[in-house]
Amino acid sequence: MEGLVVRVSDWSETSRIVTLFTREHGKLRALAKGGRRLRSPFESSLDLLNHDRMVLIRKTSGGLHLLTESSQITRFSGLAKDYQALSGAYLVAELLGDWVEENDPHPGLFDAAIGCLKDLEQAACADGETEKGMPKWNPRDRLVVLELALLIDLGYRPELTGCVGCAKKAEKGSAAFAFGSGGLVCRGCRLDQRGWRELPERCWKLARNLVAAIELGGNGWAELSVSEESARREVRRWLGEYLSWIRGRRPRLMGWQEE
Amino acid sequence: MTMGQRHMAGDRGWSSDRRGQEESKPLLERLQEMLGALPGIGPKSAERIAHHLLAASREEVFELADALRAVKEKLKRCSRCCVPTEAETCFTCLDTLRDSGLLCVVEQPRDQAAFERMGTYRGLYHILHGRLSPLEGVGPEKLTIDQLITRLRGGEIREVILATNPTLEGDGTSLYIAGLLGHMNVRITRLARGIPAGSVLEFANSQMLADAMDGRNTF
Ligand SMILES: [Zn+2]
Ligand SMILES: [Zn+2]
Repeated sequence: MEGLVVRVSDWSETSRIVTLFTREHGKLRALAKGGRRLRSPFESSLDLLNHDRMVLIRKTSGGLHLLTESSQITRFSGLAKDYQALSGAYLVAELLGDWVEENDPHPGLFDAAIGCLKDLEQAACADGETEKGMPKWNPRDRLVVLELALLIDLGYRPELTGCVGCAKKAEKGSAAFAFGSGGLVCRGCRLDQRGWRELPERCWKLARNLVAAIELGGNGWAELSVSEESARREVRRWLGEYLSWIRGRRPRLMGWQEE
Repeated sequence: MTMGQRHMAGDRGWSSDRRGQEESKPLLERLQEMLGALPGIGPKSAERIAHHLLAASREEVFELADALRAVKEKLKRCSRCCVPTEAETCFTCLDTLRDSGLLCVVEQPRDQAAFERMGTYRGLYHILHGRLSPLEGVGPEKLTIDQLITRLRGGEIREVILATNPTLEGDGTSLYIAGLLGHMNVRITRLARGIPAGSVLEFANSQMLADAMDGRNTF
């Protein structure tokens, strides 16, 4: 089983409880007995955001599963070289820990998260160290791409091409995004909506292009690199609001992203 | 004694017993809950400890209670290094044989204790009392970073050794502090990491090897 450690807490002098986002089973909480020791079947693999291969005894009755073995596939140690990249990585952990449910696998989202962490780690490396052909991301924009992928994968794909009420195509000027319907609404349909907010044209167009690119398997780099910072900032704000609206609370790290 | 009297006596006895139980039950439950909230103590252990205390002598239990109270009332943080101490300044900070130009920054008093057991480090310490953990809402204001900065402004310290845990959060905490100290005239170092001495290369994982390669030094 393959998983990403999205939360770690010490349970006792030697044991640890880890929350894992696994590729095969979605989110799992497991007890790792002896997980704080150096010499254990887990080595040092149970650190936050480690990508590990693990063996688990699953409890069917609910409650904690028992982690028996784990080894590291990747440790994104480069993240700790840059505070922006690290903050982005914390937000990845927070979103995955919060949004994914148990027994609800999302392998596509899992791969997207790993890709995002790799890009963040690259961003943390000093100029020149970046691997050939790897773009150097702004961590805040990279998170936007992951958040859109998360929304699409979990069934909250934002509808940004036309009105969710009457299907009228959005063309020019600012448009209203209705949080409850998860999409744009035209002037006529706006009255039926509870919460909506006006998005400038450059904002909804950038977001629309990003959604299209992600659905085609892209990472949005091309769309973002030709956009203006003001549009990117508007997209970040809108996404922060949309995510908070769906979950009923604001992610702790969202303040960082909206800066 | 008539039937009625005996019944009344019995009744009284029963009801006073029950009252006793009702009064002691929440107390005992409360104790178990508080014990259970301690690290590493599950509900079963909490129950066992609570009943042990119930059976123990008054003196024993009061001594424990006094010790608990004293820890909170008499122990404060050292005015310099923030380690828990009874005095205004701890013994380590007052030790004139120590190198006062060398400062080792650790997360917990237990980390300092580990370095002291090693016995070869002769500088001073600074205890952060935690690490930055944005996911748990632990920001810089919850640690003793302000005190650290004030201490460094004193100008006596030449080198700050960032000895936080080699975890993502520990490294992140060091990164944050290093950022704050960047403009100050101090040397900033961190602990070496890599392959444990006495082990063999072929069994070291790739992270250990990469760390060891990064941290190699002149022979
Ligand atoms: Zn409409
Ligand atoms: Zn001291």
